Amino acid sequence: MALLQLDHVKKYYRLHRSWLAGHKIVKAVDDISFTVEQGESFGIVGESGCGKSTLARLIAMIDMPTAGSILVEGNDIALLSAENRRQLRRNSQFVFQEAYAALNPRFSVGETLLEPIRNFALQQSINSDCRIEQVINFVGLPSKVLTKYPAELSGGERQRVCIARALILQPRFILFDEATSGLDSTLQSQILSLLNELRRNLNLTYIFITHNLQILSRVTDRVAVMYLGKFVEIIASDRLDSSRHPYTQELFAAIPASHPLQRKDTVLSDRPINQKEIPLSGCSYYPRCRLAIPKCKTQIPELESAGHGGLIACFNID
Amino acid sequence: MADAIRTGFWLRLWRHKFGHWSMAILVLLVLLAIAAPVIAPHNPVDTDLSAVSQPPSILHMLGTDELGRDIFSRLLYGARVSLTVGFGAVLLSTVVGVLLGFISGYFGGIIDNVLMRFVDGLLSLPTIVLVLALQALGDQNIWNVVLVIAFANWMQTARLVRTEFLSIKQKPFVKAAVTTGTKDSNIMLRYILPNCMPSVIVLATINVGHAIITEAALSFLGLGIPPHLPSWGNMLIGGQRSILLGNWWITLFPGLMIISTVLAVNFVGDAVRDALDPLSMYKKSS
Repeated sequence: MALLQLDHVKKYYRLHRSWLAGHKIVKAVDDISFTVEQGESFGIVGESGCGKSTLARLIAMIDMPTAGSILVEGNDIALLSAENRRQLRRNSQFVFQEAYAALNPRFSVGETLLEPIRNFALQQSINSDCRIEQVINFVGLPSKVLTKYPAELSGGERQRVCIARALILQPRFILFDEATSGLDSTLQSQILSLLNELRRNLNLTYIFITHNLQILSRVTDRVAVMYLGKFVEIIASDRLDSSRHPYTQELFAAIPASHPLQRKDTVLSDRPINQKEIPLSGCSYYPRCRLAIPKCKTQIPELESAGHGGLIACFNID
Repeated sequence: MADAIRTGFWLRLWRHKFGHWSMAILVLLVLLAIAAPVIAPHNPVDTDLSAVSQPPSILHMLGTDELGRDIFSRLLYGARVSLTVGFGAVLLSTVVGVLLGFISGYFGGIIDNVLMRFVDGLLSLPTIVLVLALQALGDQNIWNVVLVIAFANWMQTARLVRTEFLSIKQKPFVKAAVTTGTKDSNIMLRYILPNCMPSVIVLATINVGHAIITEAALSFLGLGIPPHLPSWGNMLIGGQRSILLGNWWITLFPGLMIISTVLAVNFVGDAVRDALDPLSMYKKSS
């Protein structure tokens, strides 16, 4: 049984524009299906506004999908009672963007970390003081921050407190939504190594949502590339070089080379990036695509297995 | 740890610049009100037609009013009425307002709509008309005055709390509380309510002044407490005519009492709000 299974999940928002113009539908997540197995680390990349965080909120059970189903450990979350859904949260934790806003300003760090333990009435079964100290040291913070309030911490420290909060219940599954974006590269590297080690030792499952392509190959097994609410390619992280979808290639070509001699011929699209240009039919990427053929304008490509062992949604990859 | 935070709260409260002076003033006023029968040199309702409108003297510390009643004694007894009305009405209206605002924000939908339209209706009436209409229904006693003024003042608090509730509910830390498995009741009481309090406290301190003045207006119109019994408000208003005759002491002293009470309450409110806010503590200690 897969730990997490998404089946044709859609999340549409209705924007009420005006009394006369009526509604406009925004397809933040549009027909996404994938499964994540126990012990796997899955990455989701894409540019800003492509629906990554909406997808995260769906998986976090904060929002409910417009259509489709999300199965966590085999349970359809839409069919669970509120209490059962709450119980399910013990094994799945989430680290959000905006670390400062994600911490209650009236709780000290120690209280924030005690909350999850109290929520599941685990004070008796685990030594909470000991666990809190262990977790806060794990993310590289001294024990004295436990008495401090979020307002007294730096951005990186707050982000680490959020990571510590996700780890405190020792969940089986953790979703990181841009969780390390505010950390300097040494610290980021350190935390990613620790998370990798943790995953190996405890057989944890991760989902990393990021726009930082460099960290993907370090911490994930598979990567899904998202564009305007859809997955365009799913590929093994160690084979990112052999990606074939034009959008994935464009995305990776945008990483600056670390040495002038390594500079590749750019495949960046010279067409302007304009979010308003979502086509009414066909592949949502074709207005920007350098490989577009007439078929792309009328039909929507489905994810299909490609030569590189992953899945790809494109008509013109050969 | 919770203990350390609680003592931190009292310490921060005490360190507030005007906070402890204001608290001292309020405590003093309450003690004076309680001890009025012991301290008062004269009976506050006894008229003395041989000593009408006398300026402050040794016999009458703060002078006498136009019926020859001792102003100092009346201020002491008046404190009982004014403080009871001021704090009682505000306490009651704040509790009711927070409760209804919370219900409105939590349930939303029809309950929210009905409650808020009711609030709109009440707010569209001038306070004094509302208060007069209600007071006319009951007896002239102080508890009725408290009830009536509380009823005329809870709407703004309810509105405020509802708005705060809805905005705090959307904040990421509440979402984070949900994903760490916090129960709904816990989210209400430990995440949303404490974060509503700063604005509620500010509004409540403003309302204390309003309540004291509203009581005065009621008494002036003959619908508050019986006219022979003193309150700061009816002393102030009763002395209006004498100002023109140069008898300044009749209105000055009750006016000073009202001003100092309202100011002290405002400073204490400020201090409590700041002491509740960990961020401001950080700013002050650094």
